[in-house]
Amino acid sequence: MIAIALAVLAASSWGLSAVLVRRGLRDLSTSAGTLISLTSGFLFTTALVVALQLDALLAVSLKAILLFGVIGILNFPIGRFFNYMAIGRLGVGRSTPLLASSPLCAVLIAVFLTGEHLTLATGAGIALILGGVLVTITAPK
Amino acid sequence: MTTDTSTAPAEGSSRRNTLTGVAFGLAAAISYGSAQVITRQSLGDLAPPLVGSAIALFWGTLGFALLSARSLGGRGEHLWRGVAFFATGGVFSAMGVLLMFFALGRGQVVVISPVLATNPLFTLLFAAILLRGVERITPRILVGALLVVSGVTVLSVF
Repeated sequence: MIAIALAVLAASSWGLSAVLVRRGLRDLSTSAGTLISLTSGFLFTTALVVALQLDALLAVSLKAILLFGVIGILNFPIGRFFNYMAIGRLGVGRSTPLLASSPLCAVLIAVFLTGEHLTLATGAGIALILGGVLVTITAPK
Repeated sequence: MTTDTSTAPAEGSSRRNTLTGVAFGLAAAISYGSAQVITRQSLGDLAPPLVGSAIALFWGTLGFALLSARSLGGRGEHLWRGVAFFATGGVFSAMGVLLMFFALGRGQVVVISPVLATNPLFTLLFAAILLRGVERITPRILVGALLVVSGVTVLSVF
């Protein structure tokens, strides 16, 4: 039960974050806003790591630093910037389902590049996501 | 017989705006999806997730600062209000990741993932409350979000 409550809080934190960004885009450029949100997120996370897992941070290997670097570059300068550009152009309502479709991209990349198999359930999930995205982006502004 | 063409440029601009917005959204989804694949394939035991997040955020912040240093700029007179919204948004985004790790550490993935996938519904709820007068959340947008959430839930459970 605690785990589900934590997951609900996580989902609502992301939801609130997107809405705050939409408000912020009225006063600040996407680039500046992305940098500010990354900086505040980094400071918040680092403070928690220092308080809770400093030993683990000091023991991290060079390989981990480089691989997490690749993920950081994909997720943040690229992913978050485009995310905010989409929010700015489509609004938070129409862009959110589009951005939430990232697991679909993960499945397609995994199928085509790493040879994972496409099951009937996966196909149904893909169809639902594509249908949802289509319904959303064709909605009048 | 007259033909009203005055709205044509505005409609064209709106359609272009929508198309570029969709392209940006897809690019973001592909970036996030690629990062998920790399995480799943290679990072399992390299570092605790929270430490990994801090390292990824460090590189991401540094990379973005270098790339965007020349294009930073504010709009209008409420610069600091924008800074406050984005800074708070960044903290909530990071908090979401942290809570997700705690949830996954205490519960089963098949239970937790579908709950996490509901985040677009929370976005719409908060948008309806906090963006009243700025953005309209229509039933059609809600239906689209429900379909996407259902699809992501199916993908994460099976």
